[in-house]
Amino acid sequence: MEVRERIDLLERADIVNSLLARYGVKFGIYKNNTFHEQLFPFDPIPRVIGKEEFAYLEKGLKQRVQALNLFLKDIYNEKKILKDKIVPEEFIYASSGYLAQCEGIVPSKGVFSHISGIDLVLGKDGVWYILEDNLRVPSGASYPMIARELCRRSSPKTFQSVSVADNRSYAELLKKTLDYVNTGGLTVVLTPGRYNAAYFEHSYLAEKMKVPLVSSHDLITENDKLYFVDYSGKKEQVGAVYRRISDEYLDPMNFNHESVIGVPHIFDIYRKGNVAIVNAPGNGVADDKGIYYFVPKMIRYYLGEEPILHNAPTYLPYYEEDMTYVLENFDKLVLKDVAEAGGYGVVFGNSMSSKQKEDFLVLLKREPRRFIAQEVIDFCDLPIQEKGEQFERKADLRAFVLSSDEPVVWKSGLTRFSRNPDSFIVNSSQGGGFKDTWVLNQ
Amino acid sequence: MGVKSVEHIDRLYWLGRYSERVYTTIKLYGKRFDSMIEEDAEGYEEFCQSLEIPNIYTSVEDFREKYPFGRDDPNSIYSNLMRAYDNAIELREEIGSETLAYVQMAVYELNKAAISDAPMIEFQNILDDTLAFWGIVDDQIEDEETRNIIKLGKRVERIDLYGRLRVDRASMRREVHRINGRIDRSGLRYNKQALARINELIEEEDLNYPEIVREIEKILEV
Amino acid sequence: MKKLKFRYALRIEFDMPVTQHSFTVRCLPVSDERQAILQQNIHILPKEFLSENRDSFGNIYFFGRTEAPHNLFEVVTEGIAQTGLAKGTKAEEEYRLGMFLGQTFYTKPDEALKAFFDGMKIPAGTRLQKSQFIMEAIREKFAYVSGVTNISTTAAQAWKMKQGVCQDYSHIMLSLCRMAGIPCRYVAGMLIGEGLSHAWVEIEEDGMWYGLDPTNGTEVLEDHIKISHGRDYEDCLINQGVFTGLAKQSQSISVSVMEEVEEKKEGKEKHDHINSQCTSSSR
Repeated sequence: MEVRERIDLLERADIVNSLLARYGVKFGIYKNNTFHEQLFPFDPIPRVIGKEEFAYLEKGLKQRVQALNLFLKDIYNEKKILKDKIVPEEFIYASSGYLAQCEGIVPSKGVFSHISGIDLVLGKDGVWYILEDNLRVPSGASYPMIARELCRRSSPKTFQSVSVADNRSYAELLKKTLDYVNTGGLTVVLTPGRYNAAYFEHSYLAEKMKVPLVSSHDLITENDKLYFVDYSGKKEQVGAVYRRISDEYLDPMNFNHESVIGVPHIFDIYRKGNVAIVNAPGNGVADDKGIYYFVPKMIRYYLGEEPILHNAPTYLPYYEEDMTYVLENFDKLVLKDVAEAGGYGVVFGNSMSSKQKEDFLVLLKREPRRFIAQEVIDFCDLPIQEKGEQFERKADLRAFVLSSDEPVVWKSGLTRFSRNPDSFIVNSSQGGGFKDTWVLNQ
Repeated sequence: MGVKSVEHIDRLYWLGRYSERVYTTIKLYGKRFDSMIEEDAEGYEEFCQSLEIPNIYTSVEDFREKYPFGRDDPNSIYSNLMRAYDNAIELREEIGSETLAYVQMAVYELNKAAISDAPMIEFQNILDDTLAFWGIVDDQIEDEETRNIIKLGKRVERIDLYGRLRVDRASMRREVHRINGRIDRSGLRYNKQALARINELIEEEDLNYPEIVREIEKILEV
Repeated sequence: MKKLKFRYALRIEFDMPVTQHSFTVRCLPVSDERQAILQQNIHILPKEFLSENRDSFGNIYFFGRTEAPHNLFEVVTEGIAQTGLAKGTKAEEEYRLGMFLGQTFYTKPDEALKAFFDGMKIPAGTRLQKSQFIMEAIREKFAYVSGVTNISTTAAQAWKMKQGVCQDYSHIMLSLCRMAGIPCRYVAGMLIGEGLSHAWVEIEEDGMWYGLDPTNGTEVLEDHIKISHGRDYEDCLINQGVFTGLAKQSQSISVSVMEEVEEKKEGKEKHDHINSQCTSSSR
């Protein structure tokens, strides 16, 4: 790649990493039940996406997120897609992300997935494949955002010689997205607290947006409104909550009753239309691994268009002919448990012992709805630099699509890579690192 | 930013207090460390007494290890710095990443000091980081209340420590005069009686140090 | 057709004052085709802030918060309902009923319940006929015994013991009907002559919901006043709360439903100190 030769950033990796440490760019992790903060390993070799290639991704991502938003609105209201039998209803109601409490609710301005994190990989065949959609609380944008800031500081020459789209306006874009749905009052970031894995991101985004970072005990509900209570007891109405708490823990009166990090009745205020919750509760029904199979169908159904971006070839053992295919081609497929996340519940057919395979097949036949099977995509590996040498590693890309009046694709993204040469799993919770993602201006 | 929760106010105040505690105790420890280079004297006993902390140390080596770096010793420099850090990390959006960075760097330096045979070099860096932290608080935090609450914490802690260490009257008077000018600007409600009493106390020829400490500890009790 | 006078009273006493008490109560009957609520009122004390809304199932609920310290929380609703106006109530279109077909935390069967289902020879017929068959099959094996199960007992757990109360009868019936592919839902309400709140099920057939009371083995006609419905008990919680404080709470519920006739026959009234239909958790 010619761009790579022009960047002296690669010699400055240590400087960038020490700056990342200076600003506490970390994520939290629990080991043996104790909390640790770890630096998120950064690799200086960027993923570079050309202007035209990005334009193609942009078009495809917008289309996908538009369809997903329409799907969420439909599922919780009219249910046309069920009436027309495009998606079997048991896939909706058996999904752990489906929340009956959200039935009949249309959130402020009709937006459900304000911030969508779409994970893609580039195949060796040169085709981008969607791996999964994250429509609940996708995290990760803060890392390339601050990394870019520090790379520019460490190696101004690099950015003089290569024209890269600036990604540091993410905070403005996010603020605009939140303001668009704000029902009147403050915009706040709601965090479960500093022992959350992504606490750095919560506090950094709040700082960059210049909005308060709050915990549940700072918020109260009164007379159908949500308020932030300041130290003098003064109440300020809150109109938009960028919550980084999952649905389950958001409100002990409506979801998990044991939650102590939620705000009692926040969901009731939301139901009344007096606050925007970002992303909307109940979005999990659309980013379920089982529903993933249906996204291309949704695009055709809601938009009347052919999907621009491809899913990885996926089979649903739920359908008989797919089951037959899965059984015949078991060794070349990867199987995913739809209820698991974060890289767990993923098994490769060819890596199972015969006993494991036997047990798995029993489970698969008994609960076909629980699994999807996918062709193993031959990823395009990306180079990483370690102790002055370069190695190839598996990597994916999380693109961020922010939806207000129009969906906007952030001109960057989080590229995660596996540090283990044999692993396909790139999650930070499993020891992966990250790269900046450059979108070229020409 | 404007709106602040009770918790944030509390954290700003204690961030100020612990930053001062780390700064002043490192300076004291530095003097003690120097005198311990040759002598094996049990001078650390006196050190503990002057700071009014329990002497839990069994030897000079033990003191040299635990007082600065002891993770389980609530009075160690490490524990005080971690309390400053724990408060700072929850204030990123309030004080800014640039400000937080100095507290973060002080933590890295302390970890380096723990494995160094010349820890005073790293301690010097912690003092530099602390001074830079106070400088950036003064210079870059736009919100007047935020700035003044941190500084109030620092001043309160300094009077408290000076009282325990029985510093000279002139130094004590200077610190009390500084707090008089600061406290109203923090926007916090405070114990006016306690402050008035402290101002009376510093007029006495022989300072009643224990009472000054008692009064300053009550300064935010209203 | 009957005219029923009802009163539902809930009283929670705390042994120490609690503060920041957030609560949701769902205990007001709603008019539908089968029942008309002619008159009613609700008292909630203490209430600093109180709002009213309808949940996703159309049930009325009240939610609010009390900041000041208090030792007692009380809810009383009373009114007059005319029941038996119709046999059933109008249902949603078939494609919207999916959520009442899926098993939930409470209704998910275990192997034993599945085996019982497999062993049942459900005759061909309408959904209602099949459901009635299922109801009888349960009643043959299951006995009404209070104090054996509690509010968090699932259908599978209750079935193992073969004993339980109206909530358990209903969950077991829902579990079995759902295995049979019959859309069905949980109903919380009140029953004439019963001193506690009651639960039964509704079965969908040809665009209508019909009530069946597996505890008593009857159709739901004019002796029942319905408060709310949902997929299971969880959707119909009558009362929930979170508060600050280490207080222990004791709760009593008293329900009375009696027919308004010339002679004014007294309904039975019973007090129960067991947490029978309510949950509260401390924060």
